[in-house]
Amino acid sequence: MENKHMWNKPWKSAEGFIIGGGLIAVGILLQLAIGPIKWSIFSWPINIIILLVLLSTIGIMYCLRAKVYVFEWMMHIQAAIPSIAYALGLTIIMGLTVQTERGGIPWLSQMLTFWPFVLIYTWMALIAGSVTLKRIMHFRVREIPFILNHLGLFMAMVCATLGNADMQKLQMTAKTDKPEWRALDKKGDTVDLDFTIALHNFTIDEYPPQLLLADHMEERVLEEGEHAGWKIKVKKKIDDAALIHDEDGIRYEQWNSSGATTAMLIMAVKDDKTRVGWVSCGSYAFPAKTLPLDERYSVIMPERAPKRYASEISVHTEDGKNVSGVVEVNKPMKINGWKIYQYSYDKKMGRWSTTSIFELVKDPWLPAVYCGIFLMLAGALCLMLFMAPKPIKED
Amino acid sequence: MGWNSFIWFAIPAFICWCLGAFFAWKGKKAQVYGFTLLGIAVFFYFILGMWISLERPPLRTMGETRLWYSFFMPVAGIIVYSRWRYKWILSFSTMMALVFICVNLFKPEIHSKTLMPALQSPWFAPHVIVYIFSYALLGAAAVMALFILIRKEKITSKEMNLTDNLVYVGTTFLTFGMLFGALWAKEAWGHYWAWDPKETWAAVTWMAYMLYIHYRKADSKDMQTAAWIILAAFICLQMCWWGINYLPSAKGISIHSYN
Repeated sequence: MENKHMWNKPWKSAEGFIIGGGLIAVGILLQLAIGPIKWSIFSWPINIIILLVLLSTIGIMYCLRAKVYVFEWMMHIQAAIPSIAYALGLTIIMGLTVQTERGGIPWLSQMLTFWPFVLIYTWMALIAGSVTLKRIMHFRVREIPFILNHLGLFMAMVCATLGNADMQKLQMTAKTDKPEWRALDKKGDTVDLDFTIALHNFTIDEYPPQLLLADHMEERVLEEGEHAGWKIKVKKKIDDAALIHDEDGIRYEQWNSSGATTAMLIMAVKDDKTRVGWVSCGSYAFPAKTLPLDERYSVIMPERAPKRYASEISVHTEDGKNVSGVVEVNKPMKINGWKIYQYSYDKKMGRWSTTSIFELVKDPWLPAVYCGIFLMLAGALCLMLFMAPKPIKED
Repeated sequence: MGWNSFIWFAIPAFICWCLGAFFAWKGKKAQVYGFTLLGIAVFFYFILGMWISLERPPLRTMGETRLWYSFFMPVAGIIVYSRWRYKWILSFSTMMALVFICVNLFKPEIHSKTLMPALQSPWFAPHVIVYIFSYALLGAAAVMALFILIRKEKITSKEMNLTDNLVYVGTTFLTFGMLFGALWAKEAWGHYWAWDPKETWAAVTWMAYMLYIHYRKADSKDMQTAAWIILAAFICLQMCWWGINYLPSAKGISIHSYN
């Protein structure tokens, strides 16, 4: 760094690095003085006020740029570089430290409430916002990719941050045919909703059962396809079976009711040894059953992995709307600004669960964030299509 | 079709790519395109076969993403070749593809057929394919950066141009991958950005390439620093791709750990 030129106009990136360092110092002082940022106080209408203040600040910066040099400089790429570098550095620290609600490394384990982190990102947002405004005021067609990229990032980042406190995330446990309108928030308090959800049916489709060998000597389960010399043949397979004890020992029979398990009658052959017996993955009603082959190996059937789980529900709202549909993972249902997600089920009951757990999310700022994301997508496409390679000249 | 038959597709594809690279040095365009595209077709036939026999896109395990990486290296190579006619680019992309083919042959991962419900989404394939393609391009940019750092002679603006363009296109796809991921996360998990370790490192990677782009746009003449930024960014990318699997801060926390 050439100190003799520092703070002489025009400013370069070096001044930006000093300002960034200053922001971090101020952030640390704030952290010491008033503690971590409480994002919950940013709920409506505080967040919209802050947004308006932020936008007016950018407007004022633009208007005063001829008089106040730092504003002029902030609309220059030399100011952007240090702000990205600082944000990058702090985010790397965040990625290297365990992030927890409390405890861990002081300050760094709660990076999102750490003042220096927030100040640096705010500074970056101010720069992105002010350059966007400048380019919009001096609009030319070839600035469109630039505006899309910077406006998109500004909108997505600012609205996601400010809107976070307005986001509601609730959990509802619904039982078959018992309409439910109460849900629990993060703290465990009950929230009454303006709609009821009636769960009609909960279903789980599972992947086909697997047979694997367990090695008792090495205490591990062999990979699919490893047989340790045993040839295994399935003689009988029952998807819904019940375990029956009688004088001949145990066997499995077809049983179409809650608690049924999957069972297979198998024959395993190695050299002159032959083993025949039942193997089952078990359910809440029946224990799992393995088939020992010798002192070292047994055949096991791991619990069947769920392929799809879905809840057939109907929703009635206070204002008289009736909607029916199926909610499953990756396919939420929308109602009155809420999204209903399939979250979980009664794991103990497995595929016979009559309980479905939903997550209900309301995020009023989502459209603004999505708008930012789509602008960024369009901007990224422009970056690729219209990247203007500088004229090729050999130097 | 499974991993057992991989070698019977990998070897012919690799031979085709070698021939393509060889003819690039000889300057015979028709043969370059013919052999490289044939190799790509053979390789893609295997991916398609895997897709059908697994009954899901082969994108879940690390081994499967490496498969796409080996596929996209020659694709990126032939695109760069057709645009800028670098003789060496196909040799490089073939070598990179070979590395990933060998890893898959000698250290295959557990390849299971099951795909958990969270991954069953129309966003799954575009999210991962776009990311892997960007990794391939940014890998090429990292090699250019090494070339810039090692070479004694002055760097021509043509070489800097290629590096810039590789980063631009790579970053475009990186942005797509990240934002597709955000849109998908909203549908699957209820929120578009949760600062999960994988997301944090995706943001780090993205910002590192943004730093490079801004640094270059600022008309910096210092090619060495620019090259170092690319290498640092590529390390962040590796961290995001597989490094976090070994990172204590991400162990057992990331909702992205599928393998």
